[in-house]
Amino acid sequence: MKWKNGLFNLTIALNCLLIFWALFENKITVPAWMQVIGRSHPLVLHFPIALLVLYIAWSLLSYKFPPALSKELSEILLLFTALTAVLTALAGLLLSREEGYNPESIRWHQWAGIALSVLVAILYQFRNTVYSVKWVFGFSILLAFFLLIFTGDKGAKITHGDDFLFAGMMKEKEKPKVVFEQAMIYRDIVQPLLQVKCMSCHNNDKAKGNLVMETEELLLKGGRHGKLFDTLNPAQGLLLERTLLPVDDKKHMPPAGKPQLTDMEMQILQHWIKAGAPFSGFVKDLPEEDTFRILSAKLLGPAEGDVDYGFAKADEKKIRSLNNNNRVISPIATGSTALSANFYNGPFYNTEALKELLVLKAQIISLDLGHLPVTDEDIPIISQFGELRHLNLDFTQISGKKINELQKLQQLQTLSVSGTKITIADLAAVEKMPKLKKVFVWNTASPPEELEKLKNRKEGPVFETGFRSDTMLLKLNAPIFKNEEQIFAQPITLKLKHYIAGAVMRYTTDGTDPDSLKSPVYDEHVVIDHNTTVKAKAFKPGWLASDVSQMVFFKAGLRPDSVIFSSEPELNFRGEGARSLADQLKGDFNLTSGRWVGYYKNKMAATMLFNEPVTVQSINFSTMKIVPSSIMLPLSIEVFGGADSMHLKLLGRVVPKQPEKMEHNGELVAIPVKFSATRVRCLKVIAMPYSKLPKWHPNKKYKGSLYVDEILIN
Amino acid sequence: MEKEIIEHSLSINRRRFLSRLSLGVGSVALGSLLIPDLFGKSEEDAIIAGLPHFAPKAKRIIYLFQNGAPSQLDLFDHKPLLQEMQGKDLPASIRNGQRLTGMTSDQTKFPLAGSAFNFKQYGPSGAWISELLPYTASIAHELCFVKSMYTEAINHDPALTFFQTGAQVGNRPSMGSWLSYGLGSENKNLPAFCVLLSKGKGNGQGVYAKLWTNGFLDSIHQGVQFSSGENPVLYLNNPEGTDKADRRNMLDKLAELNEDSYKEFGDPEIRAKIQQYEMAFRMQTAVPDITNLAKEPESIIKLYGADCLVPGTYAANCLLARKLSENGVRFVQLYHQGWDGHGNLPNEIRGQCKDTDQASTALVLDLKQRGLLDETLVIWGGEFGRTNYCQGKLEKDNYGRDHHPRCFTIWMAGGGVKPGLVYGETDEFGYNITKNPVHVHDFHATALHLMGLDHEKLTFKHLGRRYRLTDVAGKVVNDLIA
Repeated sequence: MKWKNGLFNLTIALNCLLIFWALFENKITVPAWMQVIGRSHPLVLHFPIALLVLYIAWSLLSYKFPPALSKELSEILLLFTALTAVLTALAGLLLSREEGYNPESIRWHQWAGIALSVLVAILYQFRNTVYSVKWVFGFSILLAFFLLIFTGDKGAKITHGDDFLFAGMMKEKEKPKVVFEQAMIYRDIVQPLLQVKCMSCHNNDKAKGNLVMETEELLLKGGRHGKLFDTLNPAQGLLLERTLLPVDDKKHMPPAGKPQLTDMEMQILQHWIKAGAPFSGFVKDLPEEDTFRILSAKLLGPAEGDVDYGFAKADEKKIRSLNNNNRVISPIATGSTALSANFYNGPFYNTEALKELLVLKAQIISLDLGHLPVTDEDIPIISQFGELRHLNLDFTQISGKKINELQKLQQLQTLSVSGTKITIADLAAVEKMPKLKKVFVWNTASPPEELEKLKNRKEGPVFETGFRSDTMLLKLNAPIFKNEEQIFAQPITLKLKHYIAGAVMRYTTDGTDPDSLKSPVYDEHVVIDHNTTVKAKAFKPGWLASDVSQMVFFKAGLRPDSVIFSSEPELNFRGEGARSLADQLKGDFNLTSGRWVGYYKNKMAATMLFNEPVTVQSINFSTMKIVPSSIMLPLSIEVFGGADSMHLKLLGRVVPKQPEKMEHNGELVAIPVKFSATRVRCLKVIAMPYSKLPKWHPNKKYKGSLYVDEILIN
Repeated sequence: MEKEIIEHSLSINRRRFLSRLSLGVGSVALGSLLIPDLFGKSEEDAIIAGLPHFAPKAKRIIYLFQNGAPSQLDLFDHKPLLQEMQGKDLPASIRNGQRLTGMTSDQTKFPLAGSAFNFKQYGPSGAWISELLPYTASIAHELCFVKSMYTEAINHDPALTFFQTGAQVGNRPSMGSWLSYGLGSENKNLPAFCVLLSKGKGNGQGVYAKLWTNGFLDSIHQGVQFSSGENPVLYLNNPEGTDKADRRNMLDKLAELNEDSYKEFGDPEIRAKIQQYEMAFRMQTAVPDITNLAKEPESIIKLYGADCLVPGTYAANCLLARKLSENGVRFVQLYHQGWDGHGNLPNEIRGQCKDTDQASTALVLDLKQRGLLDETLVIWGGEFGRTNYCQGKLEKDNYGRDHHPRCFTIWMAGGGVKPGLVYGETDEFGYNITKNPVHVHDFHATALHLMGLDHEKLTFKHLGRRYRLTDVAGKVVNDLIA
């Protein structure tokens, strides 16, 4: 008895293990030695089958034998069934972790097997109870038998394929594979799909809903519920309507439970119908961007992700040792034997680095040497990489001389030689290469109009001749002022920059727009020593002249010893304190640069104090306007002066010209206020913002705001 | 008697129960040997840098982020009804309880504002494109428009953060960081994730470093912001009197010291720091060559427009993005500010389009003529859309539009998306999506999918749970994939 107990304990333990693994199956990694156990599954599985059948047979016959013998034998049979069943299931589970099994098809087999194993173990545990109640016993036996058949059947399908059992009785209907070039829209794409998914019910023998889909005429005729296509509105019609209904809808086609249309098949049908459901014509004649064509190519072409070229696998250590910071070799996708090699960083490239790769020439299908100092001497080496499909020599130093060596690359599909000294004549050598599909040749030694001719060829590879710029007239961008400050104390040199090589900059200082002939050409010796408005414009043959750019330069004014806000500016626009108003730094359109002081609630008022009396005769009030954002010029600017803040008198007042309608572009403006020369120690400037914006302004009921970055005193 | 037998056999005593249970527990323990990561983190270990989950369609992404939210109604989503109903109030049944921003919440009327611009259809998809984008229109056959994007946030910062990191609050890793983490760098001389900024003249909104943060990922995955000035990478040159060998020597010594301190404190950030120094050393040779735009031929300059050589412009950033991408940078993130048209929109958007239209188009064409478009995904779009009603006063030729999260348009090109496609539809008011909505999470899932990554598997365990870019949502939009 002890041995039975021991074996049963083992069975229970194994069942626990089984369930545990089954629940975590996705996380299991099977070591090599366990693979042996897994692969014994097809061997062991016959034991529980035979034992269970024996047990059932014995249970039915046992009444003919002495009870003691009968009980003993059936117990032993059941125990061994339980043990072998769990061993089989365990082995099966391990086997299923190996590659190449479709989890969908295994699922039912797996869980039925586990259920069987557990059921038999339970039967053994409660055998005495079960024996004593006839119907429980009968039911358990039936259940076990059913599970056995079910598991066995599902298992057989995994090893032998779906139709194995009845294959002999079915008609042979294998079709030759259609290649894309010969595929017809209806015959090879749409019809096979209808055949598989629809015609089992809609055929000549079994015309459900009076619909037969076997011929073009019958398809167009439709069925009892109407036509399949609506000729006026191709997006409607029964075919699309029924297939698009949710699966649980009664009218959904194919009916629930039957094989459904896949997403891809749905799309193919939709696009076919959208195109007017043509019954003739070749797929290849459709435009290249046509979705139906793309889908068909996918359907007929090699399976997606088919990237294994079937090369002998290169030694991984070798690949790793050849990889460095400037040379990267990697599989083209996970699990592929084909490699791609990329070189980076021109200064590190040398012929040796290329030669080292030759050990992998049986696997490298893509070689990128673009932008490297590759020369003609390297081409014989390149031509030894016999498996190359893609070769990039863009912007290298090759000439056309040795290009004919590349003819050895029989598999080559794309070749990039843009930006090299190659000519069209040189290319004649490679043009006839059998698999070459595309050649990138723009920006080479041949003129663009000759390259253009390559495009129109009917035969041979496609030539990518790139963007053609010589026929195109574009406007230059305006010169850029590189002077950092607009206010100068000492004379400064004008710094203008243009980034386009060969562009000539002309400038004026008299406020007129620069002329392409008369205005002086800018060089770096132009000096500015007084208040000046510089305008500049760029010119270059083959380009349209640029817009005018301008900058106003101010001679630095008197610097007050202290500046006080006499009215509070807005909290977030205080510049860097009151000194910002007279720090000789102008701002740009960035309001938060710390150079701008802004007013909205209050009028603008600031007092400037000098320790020693100074003579003043003008100020320049530097402000901005961005009308759409309600940033306006002041309505008036008043300058007061005197010995101190208690004795001020009005020196000058200016009313700036205001916009009369919406102006969309912002502008930086300096408003001069001139007055007769006066000696002062204190100056006060007051500027009034709009208390109500003009009627034409979208925010007319609101105030305007006022910004000032500098008050220059002269 | 029979009853007693049954009872007896049913009553397992405690000792037997426990002894059998122990067997079960023992076998489970045995079984756990096959599950190496039962108690530790491991999905993360499984992400070996550089290996996608399946064959990728795109290897790199260039994301042209139009920061501030361009008005879809003035660029792509043509709604003639708005012109017909110009000035009439937005029906409440259409607004349907949509929350408003603080900027229009006190508006009593929501006057519909038709676009001031003319639209035409382009390409095989018949995509509507406004007269503001003539260059973009010319490549409509290359573009895949998604007109049914929607988001959850209604203000810039959360919306932008949501688009970049998959969450509205900061501190999660940015999309580029996730890609750097999942796929590693192609070119070890450059960061896997670069950020380029530019600014238009329109009303702008800030961009902050939190948008390209590595979050809880290792800091080597942080986006590297290039400067908008003459030197895109600052302090790249050795200081005077230091040559390359000295620098190498110094870095070796520094690395030793850092390694010591790592051994003492065990902070992984110290290791990251060492790696960053090494990267900077390699960048000293790689970057000057890449950022030198002067070597570009005239045809390229004309393609991108004259501004492309002026540092800090959108055009220059597009050109630089192409060069970086061509040199193996996984993710180049551009931000162009100035699309926040609350007022004066027609005028501002005209300027914004002028600054960006040609260069965005040029990038697509340039990648194409180099054979790189197939493996590079270009994305153009903002953080949300703009309202169909006017903010502020509606004038004949002038209006403003507030933020609108319920629908907006983005486009993608190359990298395995279907060219010449218009996906999704909005209602005739351009307010609600009527067909094929695409959530930000779906967009992320799709972009990762194109890069060969399963968005549900690209995870990182942090604070006791696994995080993803798509959080707990997101569906790959297969209809967009070629």
